[in-house]
Amino acid sequence: MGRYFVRRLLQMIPVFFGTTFLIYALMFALPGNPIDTLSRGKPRNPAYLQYIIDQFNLNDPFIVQYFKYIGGIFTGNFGKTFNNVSVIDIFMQRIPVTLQLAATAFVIELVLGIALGIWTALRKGGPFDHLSLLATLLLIATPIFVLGYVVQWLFGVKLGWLPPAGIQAGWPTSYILPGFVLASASFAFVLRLTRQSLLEVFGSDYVRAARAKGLPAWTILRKYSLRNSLIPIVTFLGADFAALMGGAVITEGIFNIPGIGQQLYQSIRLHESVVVVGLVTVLIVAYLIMNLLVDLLYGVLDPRIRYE
Amino acid sequence: MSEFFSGRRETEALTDGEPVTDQLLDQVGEDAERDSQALADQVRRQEAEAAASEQLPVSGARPRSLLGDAWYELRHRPIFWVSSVVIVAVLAIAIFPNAFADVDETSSLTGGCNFDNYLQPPSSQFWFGTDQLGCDVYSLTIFGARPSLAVGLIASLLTVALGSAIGVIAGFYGGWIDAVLSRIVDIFFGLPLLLGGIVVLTAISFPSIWGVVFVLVVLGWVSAARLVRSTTIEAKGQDYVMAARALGASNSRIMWRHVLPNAIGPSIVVAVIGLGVYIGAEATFSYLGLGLQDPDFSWGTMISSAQEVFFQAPWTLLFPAGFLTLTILAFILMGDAVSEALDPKRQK
Repeated sequence: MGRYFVRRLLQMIPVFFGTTFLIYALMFALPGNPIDTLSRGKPRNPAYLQYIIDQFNLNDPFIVQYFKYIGGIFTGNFGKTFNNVSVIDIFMQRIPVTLQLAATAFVIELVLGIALGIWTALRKGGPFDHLSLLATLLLIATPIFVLGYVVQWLFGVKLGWLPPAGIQAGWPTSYILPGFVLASASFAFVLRLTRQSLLEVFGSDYVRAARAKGLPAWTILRKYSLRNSLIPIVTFLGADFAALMGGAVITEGIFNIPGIGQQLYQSIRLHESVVVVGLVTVLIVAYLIMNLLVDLLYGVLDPRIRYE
Repeated sequence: MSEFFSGRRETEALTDGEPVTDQLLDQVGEDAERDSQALADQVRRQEAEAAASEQLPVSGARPRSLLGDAWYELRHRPIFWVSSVVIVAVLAIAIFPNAFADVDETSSLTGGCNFDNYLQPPSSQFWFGTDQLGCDVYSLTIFGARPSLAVGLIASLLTVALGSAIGVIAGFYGGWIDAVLSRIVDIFFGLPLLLGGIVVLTAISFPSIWGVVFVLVVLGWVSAARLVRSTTIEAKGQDYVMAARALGASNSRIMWRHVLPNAIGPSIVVAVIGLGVYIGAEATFSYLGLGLQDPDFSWGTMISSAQEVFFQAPWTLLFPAGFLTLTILAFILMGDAVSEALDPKRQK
């Protein structure tokens, strides 16, 4: 186990440098003038241009810029807004709300997705199975902002069941609608994945053997099938972190939830490029760490992977 | 975006299927190499026999090929026909928008938009109502189809082309080339589509649809590359590759004429699903204000500007959103149907 952990940690290092370098190269090494683009939508006064140049060290050679930026990541310096507020402070101030929303969505997609996935797998070919396959495809196809507005309008405004925006009502009341919207696409994937991998496991010899032994259906499901079906779901949930953070930009924007996503949404619209770049960098670093954790969890769940 | 993961996962099942024999053999048949002709014929017979004995019962004298089987499967699926009809209709709108609406209606410069018509509900004059500039939402929706579809088509074509090329090189040569390319793939994989796209689109400004296309291709090619790499590794172990090698075919000839046609099948499915995903991604970036910029517009930018008046005038948002969702759904259903039809495991 220890060797597996160490190996995964070491593999992480080149990916970390590579990914951060990639972001930086895509932003600043392409043809065109990054200063112009980064100050898009802002008054072109010398002070603002100087601020952009300072934030991204644009007067240095490219590779020096990159290392200054990497140094910033390690020391928690992700830049400062024009009002001299550091991006990491904004992040720290707003992350609790986003985590609360993401956790709500995560619980919804996990509990509902796995439960309905099990149900459809057990009732394969039944009317509910067909309905859920169609409904999940529809959820996957609907862009999150479309779903967000429709849900907000229908349940928040028209029916008035839940608050349409803001977090005044606290958790969970204010978080249910945005949580469902944020969870929607991932919920559909978890459902389909659970169903598919359970069906595969149901067809395997050891499950047939367990049935032949006369074990109760519940034991077969819990002890024989579910644990093996969990592996693709865990993989998905690791990648899902990025989907939740990306989705939070839109969901928090629509439902006026004061988290990272709303800050990003507003900063994009106001062309606060330093805040956008800084916050997204933090999120991508968090995503890389999440992926590492999922890899480690993977090793715990499936001994075959540990000894590959 | 999580859609990516499903696209890959659903098609990965294909990689342990059989090679697209027919395609390869057509390829071989076209070759003017007389030496290989006899061998190819022999391989053809053997493969056809093997296919016939393993797959569907033979109807008539000539056994159906894998692609023939797939087409047979597809023809008998209502979902395939429903999604085809939607796709053809949307393509017609995108290619010939002038047949459906008048371009003058979409701009205030040509007098099409009139503030007097501010937020009119749907009526016989304005089928989909009007927006806050008094523009006809129907005309905007018709003319918004082209950029949306163009992004999807171009991005998914380029993604598959780039991903397949890199995947086949990595899988075919193996060794250090594979090691280096696979590490590069890992690095690109560390960048999620939406978050990565936000950062890059904040810093670059390409005209029209090209910024979004660039981001989607740069961040999206890796899934096709991984897929093609694994199918290539499988394809290059097949007998026909050994036969070609024995006949003295060069590496590049084997790679492009023999391995690639067999390895690329699954990525066709990725491309079809990717079309839907990329159309959605363009809309998302445009919705955030990072995609198309004035005066260009697409369904995404329409939804973006409609959000301010959504509660007063839901039609401004619901019509472009409906077209967008229907189009994405059609491509995803099509990809789903194609991948199931191509999956040899289903035919046993």
